Amino acid sequence: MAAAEGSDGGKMIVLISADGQRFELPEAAAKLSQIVLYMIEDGCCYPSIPLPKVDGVILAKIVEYCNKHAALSSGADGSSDAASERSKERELKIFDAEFIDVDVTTLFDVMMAANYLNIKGLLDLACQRTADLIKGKSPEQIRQTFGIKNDFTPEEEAAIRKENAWAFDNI
Amino acid sequence: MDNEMFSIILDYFPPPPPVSSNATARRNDDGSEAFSSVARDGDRISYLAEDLLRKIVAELPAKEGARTMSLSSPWRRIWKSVPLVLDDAQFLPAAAAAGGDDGSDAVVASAVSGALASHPGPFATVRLTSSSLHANEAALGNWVQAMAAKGVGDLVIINRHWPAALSLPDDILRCTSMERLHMALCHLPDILDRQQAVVVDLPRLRELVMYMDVTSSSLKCLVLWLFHPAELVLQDTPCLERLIICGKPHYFNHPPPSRVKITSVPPGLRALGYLNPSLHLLQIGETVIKAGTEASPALMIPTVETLGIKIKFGVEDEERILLSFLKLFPNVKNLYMMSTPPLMPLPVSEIDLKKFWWDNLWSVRFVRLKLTRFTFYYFYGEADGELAFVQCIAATARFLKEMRITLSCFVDRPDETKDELIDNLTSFRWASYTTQWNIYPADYCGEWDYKTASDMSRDPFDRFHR
Repeated sequence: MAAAEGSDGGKMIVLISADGQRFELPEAAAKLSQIVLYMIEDGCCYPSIPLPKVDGVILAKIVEYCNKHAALSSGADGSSDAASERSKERELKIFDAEFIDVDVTTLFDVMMAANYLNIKGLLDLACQRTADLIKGKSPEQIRQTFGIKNDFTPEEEAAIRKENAWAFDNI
Repeated sequence: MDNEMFSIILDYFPPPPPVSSNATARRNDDGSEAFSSVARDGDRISYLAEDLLRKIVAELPAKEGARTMSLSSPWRRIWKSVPLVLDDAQFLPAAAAAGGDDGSDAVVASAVSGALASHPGPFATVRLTSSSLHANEAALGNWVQAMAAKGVGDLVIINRHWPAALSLPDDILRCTSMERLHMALCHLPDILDRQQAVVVDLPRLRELVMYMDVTSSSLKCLVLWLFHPAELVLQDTPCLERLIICGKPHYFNHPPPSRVKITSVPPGLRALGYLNPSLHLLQIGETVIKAGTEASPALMIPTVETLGIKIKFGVEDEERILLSFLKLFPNVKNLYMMSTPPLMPLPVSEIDLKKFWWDNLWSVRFVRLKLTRFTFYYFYGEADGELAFVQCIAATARFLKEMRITLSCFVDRPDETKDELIDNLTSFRWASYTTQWNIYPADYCGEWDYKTASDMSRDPFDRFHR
């Protein structure tokens, strides 16, 4: 029986990655994914939920994210006063910042997985991180960072710049 | 330009959208990025689903968002398909942002014009807070026209020009998709003076905030008529004698409370009202007056002699705040109370409101020592606190010469209510033997109008035919 009881008595859910790795996490954490939530609601989560599009390395990260967020937002310790809420918020912020400080390849893997699993908070975090990497750079620097292939002819590119000259001054 | 003043105004406005923050990736001390890797496996970003690209671009300030159009063809249309968030602070030259001033108006104007022209709309948020709209008046016409044509959600507009106010172009009234409008140092078009009628139809507008920071060395009388400001700041108004606030517009059912902030108490303020515990958050200096606030001398306004208060009796919070309000004014001679019946059945209050007034009204200084005339408009006779308040005034005010009560038009059987009230007012000993008192029918008084309120030769709240 895969729906084992966790140490705190809550139900545990098992996720299986594309390369066959097993990840066991509390139901509350797994439910941060809309897809998994629907499967749980439909009773399709036993004995385990296969996620053929997500690699084990990335799924490990996703599970780490969900565990942290579920643990800190459940208010399981019964303290719900404003001060402890704020300190939890701060802790999550610090966690998020460190969590998403990864190389571009991992960033996109996480983004795609968050998109596929429909984990809104994580998708927002990955998009925000990508935007932060774009900020303050010239188009050429952005292309370098992300390996973007410029498929415009020089004339096309010049036309775009001219049409939007207000955005391209001193670049 | 007084930058300090503008930054104070900006503090009261909604904060800029987070996308315009300039946070960039964490960098090492040498300026290189905290992680150095670039994409290892080709151009994956350009082949993300379009809605992911849109989500990323939506996190960028307008200028950097627009630049992504030149990255590669998958990016070409993304920026234009994301509702625009424009904060003109992004266009301020670094020197101007640091406080210097040097043709920055023109720089900002040309970028705003460019952005609003290139983007097809809709504009989710437009913040114009960084330039003098006087200097950019011609451009402003085009901007507002573009907003009317392409659709704008939230507009924040501050005319960075002092001292002057500017009339916004008529097209502002054609921005039918507008949901929030915040403005300062500029105003809506003067449509009331026009010969032909102008229809103002802003069906989606749910927030209109006009910032008023009242600083005037000569202003004597300020009347806000059917006007509910988010915040009214009395900053430096040494000559102000009257502050009259007439309720809220009728269509505005449960507005957030209006903060009435008196940062420097006008030394000659004589008449104030109608303060309303459910509509006004009164702040004197740094202290917000709440239920139970003790009136220290620093909070008191000793010059006020005529006070108007409007209240829903029977609502415990309101009655408790009323007591705090009354204690702020030690020298009131002429008190007006206006009672409004609650629209819904009253919750059972935790405390006995009848007893509350019998226990507490004596602690209000002016009632004991100063009050000579008490007027109570719209007595409806169902809340315990209402009758108790009137009785306690009679039992406490030693110098009361006159008490006038009008019945509410919501009273079903006025004659019975009047007789009951007379019984209730003759069942105990009054503090003064010489008080003249009378109870009037609902229609005895004329409508209150702003001419009475602003006529400095008359009592602003007195509506009895004489």
